[in-house]
Amino acid sequence: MDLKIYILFWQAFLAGLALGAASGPVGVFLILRRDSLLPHALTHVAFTGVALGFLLHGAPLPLTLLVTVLAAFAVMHIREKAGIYEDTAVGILAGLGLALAVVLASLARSYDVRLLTYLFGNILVITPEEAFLALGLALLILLTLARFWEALLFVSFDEESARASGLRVKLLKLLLALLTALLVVIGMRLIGLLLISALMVIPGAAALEVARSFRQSLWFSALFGTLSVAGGLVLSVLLDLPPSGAIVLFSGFIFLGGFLVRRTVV
Amino acid sequence: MNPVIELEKVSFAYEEEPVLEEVSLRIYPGDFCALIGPNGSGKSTLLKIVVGLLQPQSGRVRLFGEDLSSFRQWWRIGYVPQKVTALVDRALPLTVYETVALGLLNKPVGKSEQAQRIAEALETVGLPGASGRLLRELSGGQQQRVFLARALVGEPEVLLLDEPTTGVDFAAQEKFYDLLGELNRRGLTILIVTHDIAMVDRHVKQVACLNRRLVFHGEHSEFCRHPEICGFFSGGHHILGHCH
Ligand SMILES: Nc1ncnc2c1ncn2[C@@H]1O[C@H](COP(=O)(O)OP(=O)(O)OP(=O)(O)O)[C@@H](O)[C@H]1O
Ligand SMILES: [Mg+2]
Repeated sequence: MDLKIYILFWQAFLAGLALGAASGPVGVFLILRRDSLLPHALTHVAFTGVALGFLLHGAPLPLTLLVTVLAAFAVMHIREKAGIYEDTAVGILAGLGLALAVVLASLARSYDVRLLTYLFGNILVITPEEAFLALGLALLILLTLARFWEALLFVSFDEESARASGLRVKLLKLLLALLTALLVVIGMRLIGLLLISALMVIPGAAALEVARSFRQSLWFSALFGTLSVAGGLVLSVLLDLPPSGAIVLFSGFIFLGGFLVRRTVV
Repeated sequence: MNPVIELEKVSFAYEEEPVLEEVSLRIYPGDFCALIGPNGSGKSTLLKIVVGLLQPQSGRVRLFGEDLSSFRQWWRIGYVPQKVTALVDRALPLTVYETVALGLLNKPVGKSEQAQRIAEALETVGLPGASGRLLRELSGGQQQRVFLARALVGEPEVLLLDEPTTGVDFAAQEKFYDLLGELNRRGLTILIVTHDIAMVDRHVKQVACLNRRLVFHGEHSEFCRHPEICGFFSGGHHILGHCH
């Protein structure tokens, strides 16, 4: 391997690890809020952003980020005001997002391989800028969580008491939506839209199986997310598998392990 | 003495149907007041208005003399919502320590002071040494006490409790009210929503009866001289010993 490719590989690898570390804990909060389908819906909306990017001949990434963040805020807002069941809101959003994406992509005449790279991602072929951006954003998310995890826990666990104690509940919910949207967009290039939502739920779910405190569940989820990316990449290189599939399958094994541990040890 | 909680002609409706009509109520420092009334009479709604969760359509609310809209010192008020233990999920690995610590979020303290305060709050509610245990592995009554500790850990001046002893056995209830009485003697003002007339009779100082309007508010001894109210709210069984 020549040096340039070698460096690029390590950049992508680090970005992937950071993505795994950040998506685990965010997933824990989403699970706690019964919101684990939110990333799934947002991936469909992000797809709209990508198609829009093609149509306007702009850069897909910033547009996608904008569209996804707005959609995440909208879901939070709609659920609060309209009293729609959460899973219904998510279902509507996912459907509309995908429908719009299909129409836009067809208008942009971009039903081609470029679209596929967003659906399946490929951590091994991303550009250095993308790797750098992903790494930076993932670290930012981790720092945000380190600062706000207790407030997010309070809001996710007992919103009424959190509000009564003077916490800025609305802002905290928007913050969680923002983090989710950011992860979807970072993950889109690395893991792909079809599978990133899995990486945001499975490590968190596995962590909740084995943790004996909430703090532990955050650490475990970050660890499991990181392990999934590392293990998946190794598997994909060794066995020549698509990286995104290998990563999510690896996280599935971890979940299975956690599931069995809780039911045999505890 | 200025009231700590003051409602002035507060009216509230979720939709068309009014839930509270022109309720005026003053709670003074040192009060231990039971808020009673039938199901759906607006008790929980009233507490939610006091802690700023709901905005009344008309009327004024003041906390510590300050208008609710500008009040920010929420650590001075401890609140335990109704059915809070229903939030404790089988899947949630939350420890007792972590739960109580949430009560300090609006009143940042150092790490070691935090640990000390949490230990004290757990001691107060009779759960010393439980901090490492998982909330979901405690009984319903023990969980209630953890939530009480969460409300107490910031050392509030007023405590608002919404039916904190539902599903708690008689002896534990008795102990719970003893504990509240003790806290009240140490200077804590308490407003407690309850259906348990027997407990009201033995432990509280004031009674407020709500049925969309405030039907009665006064000293406990006064309350007993109104057999029609007293009888109505005890389901006609005259559980209140002093009522005759
Ligand atoms: N979120 C809501 N939306 C619409 N109506 C509501 C809502 N919450 C309560 N109500 C109505 O307001 C009235 C008062 O409810 P509230 O919960 O304050 O009663 P309560 O006195 O606490 O009753 P309980 O003893 O059963 O706890 C009830 O008639 C109820 O139907
Ligand atoms: Mg109630």
